[in-house]
Amino acid sequence: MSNCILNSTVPSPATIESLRRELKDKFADAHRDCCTPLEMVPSGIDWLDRAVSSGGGDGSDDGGVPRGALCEISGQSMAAGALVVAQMLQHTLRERQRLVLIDGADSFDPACLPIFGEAALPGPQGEPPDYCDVDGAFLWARCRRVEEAVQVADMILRDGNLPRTIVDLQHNAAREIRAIPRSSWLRLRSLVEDSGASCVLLTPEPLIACAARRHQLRGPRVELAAIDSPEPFAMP
Amino acid sequence: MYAAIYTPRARLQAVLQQQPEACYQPAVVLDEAELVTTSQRDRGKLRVLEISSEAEEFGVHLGMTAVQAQARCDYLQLLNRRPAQEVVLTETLLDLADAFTPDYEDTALGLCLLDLRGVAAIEAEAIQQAHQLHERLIGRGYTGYIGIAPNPDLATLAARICAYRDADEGGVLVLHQADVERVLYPLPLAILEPTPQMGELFDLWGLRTLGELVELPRAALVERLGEVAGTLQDRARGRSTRLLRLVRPEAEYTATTELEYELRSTEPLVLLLEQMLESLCAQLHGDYLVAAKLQMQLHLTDDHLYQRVFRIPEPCADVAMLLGILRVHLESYEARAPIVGATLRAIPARPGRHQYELFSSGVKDPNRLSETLVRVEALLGSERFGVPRMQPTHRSDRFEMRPFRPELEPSAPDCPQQLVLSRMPLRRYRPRRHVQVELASPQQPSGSDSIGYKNHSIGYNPDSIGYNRTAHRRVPVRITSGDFKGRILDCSGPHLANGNWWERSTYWKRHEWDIQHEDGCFYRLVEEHGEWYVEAVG
Repeated sequence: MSNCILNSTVPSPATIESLRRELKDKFADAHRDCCTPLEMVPSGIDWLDRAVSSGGGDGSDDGGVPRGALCEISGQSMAAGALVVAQMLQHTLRERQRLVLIDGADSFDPACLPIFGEAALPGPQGEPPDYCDVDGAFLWARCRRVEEAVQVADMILRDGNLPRTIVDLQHNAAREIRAIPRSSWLRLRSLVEDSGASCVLLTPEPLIACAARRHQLRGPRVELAAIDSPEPFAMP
Repeated sequence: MYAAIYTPRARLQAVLQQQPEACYQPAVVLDEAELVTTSQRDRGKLRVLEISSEAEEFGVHLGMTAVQAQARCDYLQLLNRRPAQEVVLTETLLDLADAFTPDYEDTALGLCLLDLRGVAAIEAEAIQQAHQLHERLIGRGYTGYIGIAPNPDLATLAARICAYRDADEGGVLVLHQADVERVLYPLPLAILEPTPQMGELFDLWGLRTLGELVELPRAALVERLGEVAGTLQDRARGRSTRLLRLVRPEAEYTATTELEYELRSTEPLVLLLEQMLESLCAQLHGDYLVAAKLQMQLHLTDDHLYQRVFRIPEPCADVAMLLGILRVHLESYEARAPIVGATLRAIPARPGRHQYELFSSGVKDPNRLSETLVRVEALLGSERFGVPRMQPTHRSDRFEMRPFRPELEPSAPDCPQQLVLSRMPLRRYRPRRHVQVELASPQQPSGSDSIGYKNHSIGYNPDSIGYNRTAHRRVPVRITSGDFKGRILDCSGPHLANGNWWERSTYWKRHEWDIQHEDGCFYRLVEEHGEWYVEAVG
């Protein structure tokens, strides 16, 4: 080893390749991401479910949201980000699954989905109305800072009982997200891998280096005339 | 030996406790509670549940309607049931039984069976106890009889025989197996209290006494009338035996500790609660039960009592799990004074069993999830964690947070329209941002409606509700302060929304504008009382 440090010449590509192979054999777990095709779950968003990644080929690594890995969706368009959250929520409720929304800037607008305004249902024994269809399906954590959101995400993912999580940081400043230590994202990745949950991170720009899938929202600008439409633009 | 305490005509005796004057005339108890008021016509259709011996002499029998019974006896008294008094009667019998033995059964209304095997070694002792029981029963104001026999059903028959002979033996009858043939067989079948239908059938068959019933071949009897008839025959033979369904007082799972010193930090309190939980869980384990709820009381030095009930999502008797739930709560709890005592009470339940379904999304570990939810709630506060529900108002962004309920299985809404986006989702600013706005006349006015009136505004009608058109001839053209400083390229509005117009104190009114900003985003601008705010971005 001391020879390597003293030797200032650049090793040949063949040496590097063999060293990589050796490391890969020795630490197979560390190279799991690039070897194992990810299992994808449909997200309910057409463009995301249609997006085919480079790997796979057997259909297991097609579009959607990866299970057991972080998925980052970034973009400047606030409307597009909000639409992604709303559509994933719609899909989850239709599929009778549970979804946690960890809202980094307390910006989610529940008024866009009529289900949040539905009347409460009576209990099974005819008790007074006290619950709605969504009470067991959707959980909204209204954080105010990125650190708070990461802390809540850590708790929820460590718990492992809720399989779908969205960490929405798109409305937070990029510098605030950059201030989060990289180890925190790595810990989240490790928790997601262990629990097999699917975790989507929404950010204003690509910032999460350890995400297994990274998508960028590049939609046309929303025109004012279109804002009354539920889906004013088509995603890439 | 077993003893039976029997109070004949129990419902009637219960009524007579409050209406003693009713005992002087023939009376029946109808199948109607005292508080129910029925019309006279409907009352005539009610069935007779209990009859007095005097009414019986007139040919009134159980199951008749009130009208039929009155047809047999003009001055028959129709009494209503007294459920509260029936409960008092039952409690009296159990109380008397409890004074003699811990093993007794609440067999039926007016009948209680005692297992004397553990408390009366010899028959003479049992008889002595029976006489004491009888005296106490009379002392409580009830007419009752005691039967003693080697098995429970025979003891019941002995007490009924005693009632039938009406206190020939001083209210106590001892019946041995050897006396069955001599004493039981000549008695009428009614002493077995068969169902009215079966009693009628036996009558049609010409069966009058227990002896005649016993002579019938059991297999053929069961084949024709079912197992019930076989059981009746076994009782008539005095051979049937069974285990008593013993009454056990409801156990209290409570642990209390009073300290001579003050606790000021969480850790010692958690240690104390752990010890108490160990004791509680040992009791629960011993009774094959688990804790469904846990009630914690903390006694403070200022005589204040802090109380909190924890629902255990998946009931268990695991110290670490229960302590975890308490610990998470205590981490966010600040006592107003030092703690000098604690009480823990577990509400028990039977251990649950469940099987996961293939297509359900059941929670794998409800207790762990509950603990996590408590932790997150402690971090964010209950108003920032849960499920939103919109309030029934047109006012913007008004919702309440309800607790997340993982025990509810997610279900698709009945109406698919509830999952359709009503408009484009926005991103809210909470709290909304105050801005300064520059107004100007629209550049190309082509009539009052051209400045962007839109049909979707809530209940908007410019000609009503005092809307001032001229005040809104001018449109926002620039935001001059804050993070949103910049030119407004396009705008739509104003959309007037108002509410609570019927009450001056809560009346609200606002004008909303959707604007296209030069930074490429569009914002929702709101004007209220002359002030401008940015509420949302899209």
